[in-house]
Amino acid sequence: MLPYITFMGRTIAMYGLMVLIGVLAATCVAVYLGKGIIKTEDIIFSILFGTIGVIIGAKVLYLTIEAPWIIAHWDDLMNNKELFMHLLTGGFIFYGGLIGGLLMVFIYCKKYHIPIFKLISIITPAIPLAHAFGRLGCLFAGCCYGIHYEGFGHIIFHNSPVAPNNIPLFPTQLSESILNFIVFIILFIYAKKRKGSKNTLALYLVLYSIMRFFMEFVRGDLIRGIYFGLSTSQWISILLLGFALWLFFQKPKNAS
Amino acid sequence: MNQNPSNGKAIASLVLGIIAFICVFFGYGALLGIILAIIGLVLGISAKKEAPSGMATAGVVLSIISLALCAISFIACVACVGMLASL
Repeated sequence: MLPYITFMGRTIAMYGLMVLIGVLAATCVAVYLGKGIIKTEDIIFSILFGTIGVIIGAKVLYLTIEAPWIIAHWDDLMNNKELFMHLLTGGFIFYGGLIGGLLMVFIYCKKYHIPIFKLISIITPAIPLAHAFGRLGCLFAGCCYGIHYEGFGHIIFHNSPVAPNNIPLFPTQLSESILNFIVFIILFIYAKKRKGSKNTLALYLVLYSIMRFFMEFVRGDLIRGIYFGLSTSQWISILLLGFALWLFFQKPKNAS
Repeated sequence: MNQNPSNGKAIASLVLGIIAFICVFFGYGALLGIILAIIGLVLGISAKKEAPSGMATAGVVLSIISLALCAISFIACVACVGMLASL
């Protein structure tokens, strides 16, 4: 649709711009929710740590899934700098980012002695908000596109470097963006009522893993990997759903 | 005594933040900028937590700005493998 824009002579990737806006919005929400519970500095720093984890985790999972293709085309990649750089600039998988982000937040909490579930309960509602903006970035870039679909709300790309052009597709990017906004609203209300609860993370994982499991059936970019009939993200969704249910039934270690 | 390691981290964070910022203006150099900004950010946050100082704050701020600028000029999320497969 509009993968790049030009501003003051510089090319800006719309996906990166939307992610940046999402992280800023998420930070504002987390600071608001954390007032009086966790120091603002710790909220911002943990989000920065989390963002680093998201970038690394999303990229690592992508490269891991594409490893067979990369190995098969290694000579082409080594002989063509442009192709190699395209491999590094493109391809980020959300679940890898989520796991990497949570891991880095966990590391931050352990290193600086921050109550981990209190902080995660504050940050969790911000995750779907940032993700919603990221999915708008996917809409601009044309990645994460849907299956062939001619029904209501279908979308047609005309100059996408990734999505099939001039073919009606299911609007997966917009659908996931809207669903993520809904999840954000639910979690925001829950987090305001149940401050510091570990169940905020569990609720998010339940909502998102179910949503993502079914959305995968209308995803058209299945070059991402299919194993025993389910995509990589569907398998991760099943695992995270199990983890979320386990988390729900864990008793809090202390009342405060 | 703990001031010296923190000062070192703060200085390193500021230097890495400056270099990362410069990398924004060099096309694919933004990839190096992202890596340097991430390291600068981690060092700056560590320095601020151990011994808050203006230099540590400057390092963190500059690293954040550099990371943001490098990200919007570099991260495209285009599934290049699919694109390459069609070549």
